[in-house]
Amino acid sequence: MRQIYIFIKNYNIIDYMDQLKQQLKEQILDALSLDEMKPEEIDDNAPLFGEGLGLDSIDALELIVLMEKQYGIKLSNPSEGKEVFRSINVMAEYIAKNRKK
Amino acid sequence: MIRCIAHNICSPLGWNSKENFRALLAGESPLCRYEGKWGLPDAFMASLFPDGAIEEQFEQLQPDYLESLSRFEKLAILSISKALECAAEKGEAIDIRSGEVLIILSSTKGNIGMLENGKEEPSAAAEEVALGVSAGRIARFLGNPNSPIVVSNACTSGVSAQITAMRLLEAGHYRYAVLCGADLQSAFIVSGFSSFKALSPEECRPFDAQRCGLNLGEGAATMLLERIEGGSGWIAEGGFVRNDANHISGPSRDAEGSFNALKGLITTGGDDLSFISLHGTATLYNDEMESIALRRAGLDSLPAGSLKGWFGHTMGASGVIETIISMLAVEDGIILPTRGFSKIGVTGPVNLSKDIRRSTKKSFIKLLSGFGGCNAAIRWRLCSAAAESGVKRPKGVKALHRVHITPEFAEVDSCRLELSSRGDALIEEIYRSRKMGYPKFHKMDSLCKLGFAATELLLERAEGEAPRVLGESCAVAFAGRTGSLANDLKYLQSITPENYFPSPALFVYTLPNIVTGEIAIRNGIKGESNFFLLERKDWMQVERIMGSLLQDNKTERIIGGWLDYLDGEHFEADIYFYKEL
Repeated sequence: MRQIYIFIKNYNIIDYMDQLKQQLKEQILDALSLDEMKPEEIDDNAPLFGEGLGLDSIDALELIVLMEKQYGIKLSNPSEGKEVFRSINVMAEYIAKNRKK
Repeated sequence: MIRCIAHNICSPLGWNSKENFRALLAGESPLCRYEGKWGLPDAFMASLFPDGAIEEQFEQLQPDYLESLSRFEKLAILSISKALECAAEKGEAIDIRSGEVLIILSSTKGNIGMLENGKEEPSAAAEEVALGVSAGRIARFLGNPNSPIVVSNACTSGVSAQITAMRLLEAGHYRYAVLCGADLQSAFIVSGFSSFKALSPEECRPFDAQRCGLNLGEGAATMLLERIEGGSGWIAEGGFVRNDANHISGPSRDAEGSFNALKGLITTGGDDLSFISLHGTATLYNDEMESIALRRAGLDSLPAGSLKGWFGHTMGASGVIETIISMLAVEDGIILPTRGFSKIGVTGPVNLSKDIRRSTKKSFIKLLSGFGGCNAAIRWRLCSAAAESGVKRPKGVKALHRVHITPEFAEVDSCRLELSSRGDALIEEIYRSRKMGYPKFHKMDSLCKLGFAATELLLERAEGEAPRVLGESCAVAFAGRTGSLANDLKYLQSITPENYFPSPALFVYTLPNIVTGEIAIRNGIKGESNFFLLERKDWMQVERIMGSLLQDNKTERIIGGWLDYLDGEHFEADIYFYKEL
């Protein structure tokens, strides 16, 4: 019974994070007007800046707005953002830990 | 030859140039911290006119004036009127009602503070805030019969406008130019720069190791220019506008555009230069970029400075205010210190000082940069003896290709494209049908999409398939009426008090010249980029402006014409690929 309980508890966390990442990808594509991409095309581990989505400095600033608007998280400067926006996985973890909405 | 007859500065430091200059020497700055101003959530540091000050001054000038002029229009008229008074006092009066006089304004956002929530109907909003329309009201108040021009080339506008004015006078279209740079601050502008994390909460520190952003400011300044055959006084020695072809908001890491703008001004050497007045906004990246430009141009030992520590960044007024202050400094034999600077924090080197220095040299360079990747530099000299005239022949333009797009159709050289959509969808269809593979297209505002798509069609015809690297001999400049209004309304909706999330992606497109930046990046255009606003589609004025682009003696090809977007039912791109006649 205990094993079943642990399985259900872990499955809920996985489910929650999957949903969060899916939602996050959709929000990012919308906020950054990445009209030619689909959420499925974003790899959870791939760098968002540099290669991958090829995001630039304005995108980084928009992601800061997104964090506040959707999750109530205030990042004060672009360099803090650099760490948080490393990849979808890193972003989702940070949101799960710090969200106020 | 172009001479500056008289000038004026109207700023929180005073209502004439000398008053402003004396305040600078006394170390006064109107920079002040504002909390809760315009309902904004964050405090900011700025140099602003006291409430009612502009209206009070205007009352003194024109006590019986009943029609409604906006605060911005009153400010511009004040500065122009005072400059005209100044000229008259010197015995060099200009009759502004003469057809020989062109009014040319420089502004980034004009009346934008009059819009409330972005829900305004576009054509009604245009009547209030379109800069071309404002300019028309100013011209009519002053009794000038010509079609005024507004240069709206982001923060380089004040120098870009001087350069355009010089050329139009040299070409013989007008004998005098009344050039006024003016901008007022508002929640619109403050929130936008805040979304870019570009504002410093303290007094700004240009080029300093501790710098962390800019302060905003407002003001107006006017220069009265005339074309003469020979003479003495303040003579314009030349000017250049150049695009980085790199990024629409970030300064270029290798200062390509700034360097290219400067290099044309130092062919006769830099020995007689007293100083260079830099843009020096005190952001991390701008100041660093300018230090690279100076090094590349071999000007790193030339005394340099920034005036932003006094006035703040006065946007479209800055190029004119800072040029006039530089003139007064040369006349007094001094080099002004850089307020806010103490320890250098750029790769440089840059020859800055926090103290006043002395010089007997008689010329200076004014350099500016702005959103859209534009950079502008101008050189002025105080000539005591009668100087020689180097008359530049006016050049004409020949249109080789044309693209015409309206909500109903798109034509390339009079051949209609087969498109099934209309309105905004027509512009999207052009993009898709070209298979450009340029995802950045979707980030652009509608004015950019229109100009970008039209230019793709034009260059396909004129220069062949992408990729293209058109270089420094190609310029891209448009004239329009509405500018970035459609996107301005969208941006406003991101800063309503109930839903305050200023969007940097929207804010960057609240300047009409950004479309020229996008086109420059796509096509490797490192020549001049510019944007002009007119009251209406005055084709003769458009062609004069296009012709003026050739007068830097380097431009050989121009992507130009009329570009306007009001909403999905009202837009027009009527653009041409021009070569010299």
